[in-house]
Amino acid sequence: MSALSDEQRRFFDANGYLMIPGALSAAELAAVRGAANEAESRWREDPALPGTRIPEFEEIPAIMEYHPALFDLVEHPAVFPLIRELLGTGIGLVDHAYYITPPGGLIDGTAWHTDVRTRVPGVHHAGSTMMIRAMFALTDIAADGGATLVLPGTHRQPDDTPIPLVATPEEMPGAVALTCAAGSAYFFNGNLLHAPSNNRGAVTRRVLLYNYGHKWMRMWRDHEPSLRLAAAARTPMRRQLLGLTAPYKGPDAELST
Amino acid sequence: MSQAMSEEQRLFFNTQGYLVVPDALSIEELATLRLEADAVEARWRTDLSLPGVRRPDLEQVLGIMEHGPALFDLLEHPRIFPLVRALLGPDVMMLDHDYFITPPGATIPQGWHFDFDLPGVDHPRSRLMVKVFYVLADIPPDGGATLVLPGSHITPGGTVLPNSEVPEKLPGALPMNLPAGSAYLINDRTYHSAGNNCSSVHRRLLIYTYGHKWMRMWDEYRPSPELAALAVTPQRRQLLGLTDPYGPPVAWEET
Repeated sequence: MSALSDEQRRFFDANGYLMIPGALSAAELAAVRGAANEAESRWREDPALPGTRIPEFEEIPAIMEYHPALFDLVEHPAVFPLIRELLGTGIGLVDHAYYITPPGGLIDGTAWHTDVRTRVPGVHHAGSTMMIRAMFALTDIAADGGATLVLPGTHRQPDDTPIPLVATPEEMPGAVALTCAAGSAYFFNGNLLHAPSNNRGAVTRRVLLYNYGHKWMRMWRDHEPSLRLAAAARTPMRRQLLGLTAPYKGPDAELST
Repeated sequence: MSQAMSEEQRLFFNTQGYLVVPDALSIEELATLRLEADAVEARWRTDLSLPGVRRPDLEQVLGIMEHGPALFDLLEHPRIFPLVRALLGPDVMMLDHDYFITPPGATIPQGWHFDFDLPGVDHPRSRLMVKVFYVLADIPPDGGATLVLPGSHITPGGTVLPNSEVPEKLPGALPMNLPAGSAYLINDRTYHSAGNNCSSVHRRLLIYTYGHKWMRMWDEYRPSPELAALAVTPQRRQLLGLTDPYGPPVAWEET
């Protein structure tokens, strides 16, 4: 049985993204929020831990290393089977992070980009699906609250299509703000044009990112699993996601959810 | 764009999926490589702990660059590597490297295959890999030459092409029976097979397969600490997968 409904598949194929309202139950959201808070406290207390620390954006990379609940989210049953269906059974993980966007930052229009166009050369991206990036919202995200902006349908544009120049991300004609309630998830094709928007609200935006690719793709720099995380990957699927199985052959792992 | 590849070569590779480079190796280079390859082969035959394939129809010394400086430097051969770079781009990286020895009498039933058929990739319009074969000994017409099916690289992923009990009998098959010192290149979607070696001589090939640095190297080809230590240039480090997979590629000198 398909994890994606026909409507979801058609929407994703045409637009390049999909919203899953209520992906996390209230109890799951509370547990994940607790785990993310713990991770954030540890990260703030130890500046030696890697990450981005600039006024408009804070990023804790390799977030699965911080807490088992954040590791388990990589296979969440409301999201992962859908992405696996879109990428194929040879799915792998490329990177994972916790994004924190405080109010007041200034982001200009050059923030529009695709994840794969320049970073994954050699592939005709308009006809391929190399990455799908999933975001779990830990807070409500309003239109002025730093929502991710996407330009629907651009994932099928030729690779040399210029990105329109705009002064701020919000001025891009046709941009859709992915507003949602806490506990929602959304995901988009890595070739879809997207950008963060300015957080002009009063609430810090908090999202967890899980970026999936194929098991034969390398993980993002400094995202190779630690020995501790690798040891915690006890199922074939978890090992495949962490790049611990043969890249180009061998059986693909079955869904374990 | 690299000037190493002529427009004629580029057009030929783009349309046919392979390219032959006669006399890729000078006589001196060929002699040096043969010496190193012979020494490796002798060591590999006596030390069964060294990795590889030991079958009647194929002997494969795995990770050949680990075994000698000339074999390591062949990675950036000045006549061939610029062609690879022109085809793959500046983010080129090594995927695997072997010494293939095909003894007389080897038969390869149903040997035709694509190297890659990867879900999610628009294969006809993508180029993930270029495989280079260096010929170390003359390959006679019945000597197990690699067979390629010209033009097959533009077939979509999932395409099933005919196979053949006798590889040479596939209609359109083109054998790479070439003299020692030649090189030939194919891409990841060029349908190919080893041929049956009905001659009295071993077929000897060095194979260097290149991809992009965002791709995973086969686990068994990850460089040893000793080889990694020998990669003293940024270019060589990128080729061995020792740089940022998704960051900017290194700069290459035009040749």
